[in-house]
Amino acid sequence: MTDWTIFVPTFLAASVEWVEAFTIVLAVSLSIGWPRAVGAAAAALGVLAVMTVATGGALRLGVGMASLELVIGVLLLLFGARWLAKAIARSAGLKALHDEDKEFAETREALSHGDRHAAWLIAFKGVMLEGLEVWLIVVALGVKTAHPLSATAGALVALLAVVFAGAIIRAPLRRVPENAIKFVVGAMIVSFGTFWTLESMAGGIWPMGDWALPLLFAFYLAGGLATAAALRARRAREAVQ
Amino acid sequence: MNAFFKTLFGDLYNLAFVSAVVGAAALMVHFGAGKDAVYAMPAAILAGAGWFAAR
Repeated sequence: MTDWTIFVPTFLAASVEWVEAFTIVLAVSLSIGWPRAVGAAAAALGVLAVMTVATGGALRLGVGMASLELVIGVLLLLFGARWLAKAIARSAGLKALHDEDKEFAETREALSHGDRHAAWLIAFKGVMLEGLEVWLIVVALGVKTAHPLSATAGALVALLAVVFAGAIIRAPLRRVPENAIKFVVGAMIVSFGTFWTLESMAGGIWPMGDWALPLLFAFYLAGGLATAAALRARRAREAVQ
Repeated sequence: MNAFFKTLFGDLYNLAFVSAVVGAAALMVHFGAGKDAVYAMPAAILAGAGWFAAR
């Protein structure tokens, strides 16, 4: 049975990362052809799949629940705090929105100086690095909640959706509302990270138990949006002066 | 390898910030202020994210 509280954040986070990976693979395919570019992407996905199975199993071996919660909670905080900060900065206009067309052009430029082997490596590395973030979320949410299939399914459905959309459009997927997704997922991930980190230190510390999670999510989302609005206003004031 | 670690853990500022927040939360819980930590920790994380965004 699918756990939607795990499936949704994994699906959203993975969608953003797969779109970025797709842009790189698309650029590489124009240099070395689809078969080799897809081969590089498949090789990277294979490595990520092995990592997911290996680390998911290792984390559950001989590790107490409190230690597992602490490790996963801290990893999610490290990751989620950056996503939330980036989303706030982009929303406030302090950082440029991620531009798939620019990423595509930069990858094409990089490819113009290299050979076919270098192009294959660019596709492999691109999918690998984007996929690392997906791996972290799948392992963290899947292992901790004992719903690895929901987390894996979220990442795989996102991959299929991006591949399907990319195969139809055959251009960078520039219409994905990346920053809105990063805002929501960043708030979700720091909520899980905060909850499990404190829970690992003192079980039952949260006054409302598991219901603290949606409250944390609302706090981070509303707080993030308010912070972005305040930074935007400050930037406007500074521009006038 | 550098890209691998940066993707997972961010830069040194991010690592230091999260370590400091988790360390402070652990101290609060240890000294019996766990009930305050459930409010202080989210506030600190949000303030940190705002600071990183403005940096």
